[in-house]
Amino acid sequence: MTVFEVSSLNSGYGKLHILNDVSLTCGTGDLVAVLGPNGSGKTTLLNSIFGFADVFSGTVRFDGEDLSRLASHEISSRGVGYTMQIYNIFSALTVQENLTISAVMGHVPDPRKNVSNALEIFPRLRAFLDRKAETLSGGERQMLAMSITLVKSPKLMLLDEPTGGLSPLYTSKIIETVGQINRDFGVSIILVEQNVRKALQVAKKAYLLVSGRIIFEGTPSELLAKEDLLRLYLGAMRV
Amino acid sequence: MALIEPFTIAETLIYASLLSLMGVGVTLLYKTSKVPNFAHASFVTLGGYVNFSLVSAFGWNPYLGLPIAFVLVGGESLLLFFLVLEPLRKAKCSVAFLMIATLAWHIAMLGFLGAYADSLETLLRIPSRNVILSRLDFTLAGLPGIFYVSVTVTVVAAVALYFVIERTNIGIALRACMENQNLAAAVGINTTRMLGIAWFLAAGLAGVAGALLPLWTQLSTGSGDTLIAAMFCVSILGGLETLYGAFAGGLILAFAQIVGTTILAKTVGLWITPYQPVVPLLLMAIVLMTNPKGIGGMKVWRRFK
Repeated sequence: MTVFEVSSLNSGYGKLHILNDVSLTCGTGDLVAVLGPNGSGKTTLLNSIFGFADVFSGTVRFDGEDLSRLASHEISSRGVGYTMQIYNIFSALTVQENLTISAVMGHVPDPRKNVSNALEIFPRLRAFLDRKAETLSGGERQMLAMSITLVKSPKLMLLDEPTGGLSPLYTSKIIETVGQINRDFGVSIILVEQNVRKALQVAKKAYLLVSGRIIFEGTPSELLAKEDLLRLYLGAMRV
Repeated sequence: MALIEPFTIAETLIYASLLSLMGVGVTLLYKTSKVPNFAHASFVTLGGYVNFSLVSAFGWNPYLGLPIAFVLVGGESLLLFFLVLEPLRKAKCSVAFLMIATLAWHIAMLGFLGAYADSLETLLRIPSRNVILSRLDFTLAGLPGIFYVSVTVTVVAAVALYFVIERTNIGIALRACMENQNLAAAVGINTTRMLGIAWFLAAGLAGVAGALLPLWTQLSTGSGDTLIAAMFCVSILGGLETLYGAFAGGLILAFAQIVGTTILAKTVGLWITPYQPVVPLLLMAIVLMTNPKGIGGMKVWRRFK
């Protein structure tokens, strides 16, 4: 069953038109990978869904409701979580404050329990609860960023390059965890990722976004079979 | 004769307290809205006239008007924020545009306060310019009540502000908004509401400072304007990125402006006294050129934090 649907989306920033007629669907509990070269509009797609970009036309529907008319915090309250690529943690707050404020603002019944659940997924963060988030390493920051979204018990998670700039070890760990969140918690996920092969290992469906247009939609195996597309737009696939 | 009389120290602490209450608001608004708020001058003047009106028209004790001034001036700032600044912010206007909007609001308020003062004079026959309420103040141990009240109010405000900002969920949400409003919205914080709270608090504190002003010095429709450079100086001295630095900034400026000028007057001559208003501008220039992050950017402050 489709829980999330983007239809004929045209969006950008001010006069800059970036996405052209983008359509995308995500079923309940699905993990959808959105792939594409740098500058193809992947982040703009997530920003448009979350109200951070200007939507010129088209609709973004979640659970039957049009999100394009809602403020970002209202979209969050509907059960959509967004982990941005950069500036995705509050560096001046402690790790505990980062998690608490997200859980409290997410109006979850038991914020402490949700924080504890998130820390079970990323146990490494337990040791840093009282530390300012700015002191964390790149991988730990990414774990915190995902935890901030996770403590809200979202029904849909938008993840923008969660492995960006991380070592291969952290990359594998993060992608594994994304798969785990999707499997164990039944959270629908839209994953924007540069590590194509890793993303396709956990995705159920994939989209290829090039120059603001969707040029492929299908299963990961179908995309992997399209060697011309992979070579042309995704270059030497990062492992 | 001592170089500095105890009364001068008391005067300095009163001035430091009032400046701190004003300056901390300038910093709070800069940190949350990124706007240097020129309307802070009218917040101070309005607070003064609210208290003066309650005292003159209803015979209130001059200290009873403080909470009323806090709420009314806070309310004025909400009008400015929701009617002017928020629509401009949503239209993605630049910070410079927002700053000019606060200046325009201030000029409009100046007109309103002038008309209000005229009305008091013509309709109620209450002298309303260059007025002072110190004759209604109490005295304790040879010092005026304003000394005890202004220092106490400032200390209480600093502690309360620290408690709210550092220890409550609203405070964490405010700090989150100060750092990254998009991320704050992404975690579900209503950033508009948070900014509204920041404007209310900042203006309320300026209103309280304004309400205390006529107990210390003359109140006129331009009182806030004469202090605007000092307010920005306090904020810059404390560090625009450090909320609590404004309290230290207020103390430093007050000592430089009152104690410093007094010492200079006694050593180089009285001719120096008229240059007292230049001190905030001079200090502001020195800080911006040598240590733009102010006290908050200094290692010693970071260690203290």
